[in-house]
Order: sequence, then C-alpha cells, then structure tokens
Amino acid sequence: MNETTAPSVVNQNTSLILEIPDPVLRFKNTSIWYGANEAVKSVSMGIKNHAITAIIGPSGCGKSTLLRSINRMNDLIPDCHVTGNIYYHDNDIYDKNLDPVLLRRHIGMVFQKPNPFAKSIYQNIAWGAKINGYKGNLDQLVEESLRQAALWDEVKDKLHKSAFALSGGQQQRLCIARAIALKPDILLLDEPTSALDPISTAKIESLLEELKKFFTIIIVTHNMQQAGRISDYTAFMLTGDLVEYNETKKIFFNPTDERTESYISGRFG
Amino acid sequence: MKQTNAVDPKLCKRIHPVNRTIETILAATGIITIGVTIAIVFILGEESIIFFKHVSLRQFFTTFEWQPHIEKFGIWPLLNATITTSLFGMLVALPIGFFTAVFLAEYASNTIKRKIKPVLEILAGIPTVVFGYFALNFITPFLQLVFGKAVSVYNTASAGIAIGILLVPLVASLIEEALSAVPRHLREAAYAVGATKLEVTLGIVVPSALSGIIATILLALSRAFGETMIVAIAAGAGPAFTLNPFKSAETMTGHMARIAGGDLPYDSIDYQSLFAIALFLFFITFFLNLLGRSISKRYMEHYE
Amino acid sequence: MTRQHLAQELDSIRSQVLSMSLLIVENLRKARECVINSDPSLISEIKRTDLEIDALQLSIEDSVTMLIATQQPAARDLREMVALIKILDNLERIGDYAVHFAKASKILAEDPFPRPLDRLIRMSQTCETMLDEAIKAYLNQNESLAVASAEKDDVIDRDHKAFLNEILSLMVDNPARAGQAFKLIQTSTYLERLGDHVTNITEAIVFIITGEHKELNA
Repeated sequence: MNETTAPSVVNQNTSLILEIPDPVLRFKNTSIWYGANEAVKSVSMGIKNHAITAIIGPSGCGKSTLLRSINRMNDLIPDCHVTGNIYYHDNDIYDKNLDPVLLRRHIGMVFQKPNPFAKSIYQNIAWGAKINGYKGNLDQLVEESLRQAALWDEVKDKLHKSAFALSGGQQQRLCIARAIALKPDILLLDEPTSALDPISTAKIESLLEELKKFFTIIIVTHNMQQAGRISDYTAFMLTGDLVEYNETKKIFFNPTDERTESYISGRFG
Repeated sequence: MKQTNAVDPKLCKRIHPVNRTIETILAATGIITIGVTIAIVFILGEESIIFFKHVSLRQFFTTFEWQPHIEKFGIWPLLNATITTSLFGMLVALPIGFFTAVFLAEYASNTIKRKIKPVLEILAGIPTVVFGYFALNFITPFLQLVFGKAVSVYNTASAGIAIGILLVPLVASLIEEALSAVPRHLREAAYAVGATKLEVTLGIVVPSALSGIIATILLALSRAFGETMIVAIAAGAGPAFTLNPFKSAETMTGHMARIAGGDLPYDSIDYQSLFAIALFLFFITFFLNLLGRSISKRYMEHYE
Repeated sequence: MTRQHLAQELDSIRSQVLSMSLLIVENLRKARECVINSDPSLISEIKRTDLEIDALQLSIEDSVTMLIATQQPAARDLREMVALIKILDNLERIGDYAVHFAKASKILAEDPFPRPLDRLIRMSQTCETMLDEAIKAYLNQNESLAVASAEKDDVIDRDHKAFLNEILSLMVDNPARAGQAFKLIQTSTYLERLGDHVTNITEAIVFIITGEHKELNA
C-alpha cells in the first residue's frame, strides 16, 4: 500500500513543517554528511522552548545524527561534517569561533545506553560540575540534581557507592541527573529508554514531563508510542528527510503525509 | 505422555567421534601446559630442598654476601641488583609507555597510529642481546658523558634503562589496549558534560582503564625481574651489594646465566644454589602475575 | 508491509460490519413488504434477525476494543476503530427502527388505510439507499459517496413533512381514524430518525477519512 521507496519530495513543504515562533534552536538547511553520504538532508525546523520535541523515524533515518549535531557530538566522528546552519538562540553552533566544550555545558545529553562514569554516584554528578568550575556547595548540587531526577530517595544512603551497583533504570536517571546538574538550557535524549524495562521507561517518561518545566527537551525515540505519550511536537524523518513536523497530537491523530501515516500506524519501520 | 523409557530416535543422544577426538586433543594440550609448569616447579623445588638442607633460609634471606666458593649464600646482593635494574626499567618504561599509549588511544589519528604501531612492533622484535650491547656501547658511554667517571663500564643503571626501552612496546600496547577497551559511550558521556579532551582522557578514560594499567605495570615488573640477557651483558659480573646504580652488580638472572654457563659439577652446592635462586625468582613473578590477575578481575567486571 | 495481524483483523471487522448492514437492509425490505401488503406475518422473522444484528454489534465491538488494547493503533487506524464504535451503535438503532417500521403493518392489517402510503414507502426506500451508500462509502473509504448518502436525508425530511400533512388533513376529515393516524405518524418519525442515524454513520466515515468532524445534515 505504502511504498517506502516513494521518491523523496522536497521537504520544505510549508504545510508539512510547522513554523515555531521564537525557537530556542533552529535548523536552517542543515545537512549532515558522513564522507560523501548525506545522512540528513537539508532540514529546516525550529524547536520550541520548554517543550518536549520528539524526533521519530525508522532506523537509519538520520534522527540520532541530527540530534548529535546539536551539541556537536558528531565532531568526534572523523569524517562527519555539517552544512547549512544550526542556531542556538542567535549563535551559529558551527561557527568556527564557537567552542563545542562550552556549548555542551548549555546543551546536555543523555544516551541510549546508561553510561555512568566508573565513579561513585556522588562523583558522577560532581565531576561535571567540578570540571566546569562550579564554586557552590557540591553536596547541595548533588542532592538537588538527584531529587530533580527522582532518584534521591533511592540512592541517598549509598551516594559513595559505585554507580554500577544501580539498576539500568536507576543508572539512566543518574545520567539524567548528571546532565541537569549543569543546569543546561536544552536536554538532548538519544533513545533514552530503549535499553530499559517498561517500568523504568514509565518512570523516565514521567520524569521528562516534570523536567520540561525547566529545560527544553529533544528526544529521539524509535518507540512511537513513547513520542505520542510524552512529546508536544513530533518530527518524522525518513531516509534523511524531515517529512513532517507538527504538534504531536496532529501527527498521531491525523498526519498529512502518507509516509508519516504509514509509519505512525506501524505499516513500516 | 507415554510411559516408556525409550527415547524417540529423533531425540536420542548421538555419538560424535570427531567431536570426541578434538575434545580429547584440546584437553591433552591443556594438561601438557599444566604438566610442564608442575614439572618445572618440581625440579626447582627438588634441588632447592637439597640446597636449603645445607644453607638455612635465615642465612639466605638475611645476609648480604653471595660468595659460593666460600659458602656464603646471602641473596641480597643479587636481589638488590635485580630490584635496581627493574626499578630503572620501570622508570623508563612506564612514563614512555603510558604516554605513548595515551597518545595512540586518544589523540593519534588513524594514519599516525598506522605508522607508530609497526615501529613499536619492530622494537618488540629486537633480540634482547642487541639491547645488552646497546646498553654497553651506547647508554653507558652516554651516562659517563653526563655523570662522569662515577659511572662504571658495567653498571645496573645502564642495564635498567635498556630493560626499560625493551619494555616500552609491551607497556604501550597493553595500556593502549586497556584504554581502547573503555567503552566509547563513557567518553561521549564525559564530552556531553562539557569536558575537554584532556579532562576526558585523564578524568574518565584512564581511571576506567585503571585495572588494565595496574595489571600492565605488574606484568612489566615481572618481565623486568626475569630479564637476563641485558643484565648479563651490561650490569656486570660478580655479586656486589651496592645501592649505587652506577656501580657494577650482578642480578639473580645474570648470576644464574653466568654460573650455569661455566662447568659446574652436578650436586655441588653451587649448582643447587642456582635452583634456589630460580625458585625464589619464580615465586616473585608468580606472585606478581597473580596479583595482576586478581586486580584486573576485580575491576573488569564492571563493563560487559 | 508489516502489521499483518492488524490489517487482517481490520479486514475481518469490515466484512462483519458489511454482513451486519446487509441483515439490516434485508429487514428493512421485509418490513416494507409487510407494510405494502398490510401483512404482519414476517414480523417474527424480522425480530429474530434483529436479535442477530444486536449480537453482531456486540461481537464486533469486542473485536474492535481488543484490537485497540493489543495493537496500539494510531492515526487513521485509531480513527477507524473509534468511529466503528459509533457506526455500530447507529447501525443497531437503525435495526430497531426497521422493526418498528414493520410493526406498522399490524395496524394496517386490523383496518386497511383508505389512502395510499406512497410517501412512507418511498421514505423507507430512501433509507435503504442511504444505508447502502454509507456502507459502500465506508468499505471504499470514499468521502464523496458518504456525503452523497447524507444529502439524501433531506429527501426523507421532505417526505416526512409531506406525509405528516397528508395524515393531518385526513385526521381533520375523519377524526375516527385519529388512533391509526397517530401510529402512522410515529412510523414516519421512526423512518425520519433512521435517516438521521445513517447521517451519523456518514459523518463517522468522513471522520475516518479526513480526521475532521463535519456536520453533514445541515
């Protein structure tokens, strides 16, 4: 019924891409290349402040690549480069005078697999603060971050135990605590629950809904239902193209593009 | 369910002659390795027991003179020389090896890696006798140039430095392996909280690879203790208890090589003393290996 | 194409909806025959079929609910399943009205009506056409057919009004027939309602196709 091999249309179809007024982050004809391979094709979209934006799409559609371009994590990949622009407020993220290390203090990230440092729970949070020259009360910062990540009650008695002693779901919340300890502006999450069980997933989802009061959240997920449950805006990507971007309820209830429709209703991907 | 004892032929156990044979061969090779080790310990032990019937453990471990012809068997002059050469070896090998490893694992591009790694392999392939003469003909004159007449022609410092150079490839490649084994996602996590490359390397990667690094140090140390040819050539002949690394002194291995090379009568006390030294050396390296293993085991289990 | 299971289940649900509506159409036809011939003999048969229709409604509804629970439908699939619940509800009511329509034959059998009942008959025919079109619109996901079906509701409304006037003038001329006339007014009202229920179904179909709620009987 739905051909995944449909010719890729120009994605700057305005009716398909929602205009976000006054976005905190803005992609402008952003293309991301691995060598000569264009993994993300001229994406233009804005990200709403203090909302959860989900990027969905089948494996290999470029959603993680797009996410990792925001905090310049792709810099770590030798032959990856970005054309077009990404603006964080009014700063071009790829301006040659912009320091990616400083950028990452404003744009935090949580990864697919829980990846706490080989340190204590306390140090996992304190380390980032220390290297960033935090001068305040570390104990207080650790507690505050753990509370915000809904983990404090579970770990307050073992702060100096290894982070590896925690369960996968707890480790992931620790990683969220570690990210928000820096008080970033934007929080990027790259399939944060794909390695977790449903209960841990539900905990993280409700946590994210809490956190959007304080942060702008962008989440990449291959779990469509998750995008539907927690996000305010959803972007659907397919083979590097941004196919459709709109309010989540619109995307999940009545998408405009045929390909979005068949992906959302699970016809492919 | 049928109430019979017969198993359906489709599910019946089969006989695999080939599998059996291969399993047996594999088991046999394993047993051979263990058997050889036991045999070595047994031979060392047997001769050592005879030796220790003549010489007390007390004399062996607490006196400071090793003169077999006058029946003085204090291990300390030999042990001290071994410790000195090993110490110099580690002082050279650890920093150079560590920084090479960090450079290779974290900083070098793939092209540079491809150029440096073969060089290290060549270095690792040089026969130790070459290092011995390199110590004698290059390092010692160089030390004499810097420190003057205080440096003897044969000295432990020179041999130790050569051991260090010998160990650089080993240390570098093992530490590099340990650093590379640190999962990529840990590095990413560190970058994501705004760490610089140096902070990521020293703050996250190195501590995460600590078990591998410690194991490497212990392995290098046991190699240094056991190194023979370099010390036989460059450290000097004749046991001497001295804390001055510029003086000549004979290590345990050096002594064994020299004495065993001569025509010693079997079942003489001199001959048996070699076995006692060897057994002692065996215990030291065995202990170091064991320690290294238990350390890496203790920390390794954190990464799947 | 993934989600074979969902697709198969939906297909089977659609064909069950088709069978349900065919039974209703069949009942409508039989009811009309009863009325035309003033012969209530088919009523028990019609009632039996209506029980079948009711049972079918519940079983399809359960299938839809189960599908929502197990398949997490989204977008059009979800809209279809939600709309189906509404469609089934309306179909069931339509089935009931068909039974009520048939019951008019009882009064006519007791005492033949002096005037032709053409308008009433025509209303029932229009209802049948509307229902037929609505179901076709659903099965083919054809929006314009759904709209066309709904538009016919106006014809029913006009016939209903005209029929009421006829009956009223008869009652003025012949007050003794007031009781029978009242029953016929009721019957006509049932058919008028039936048209409204078909309109509801067409609105649900348009919702499945477009995702929008449109008033079709304005």
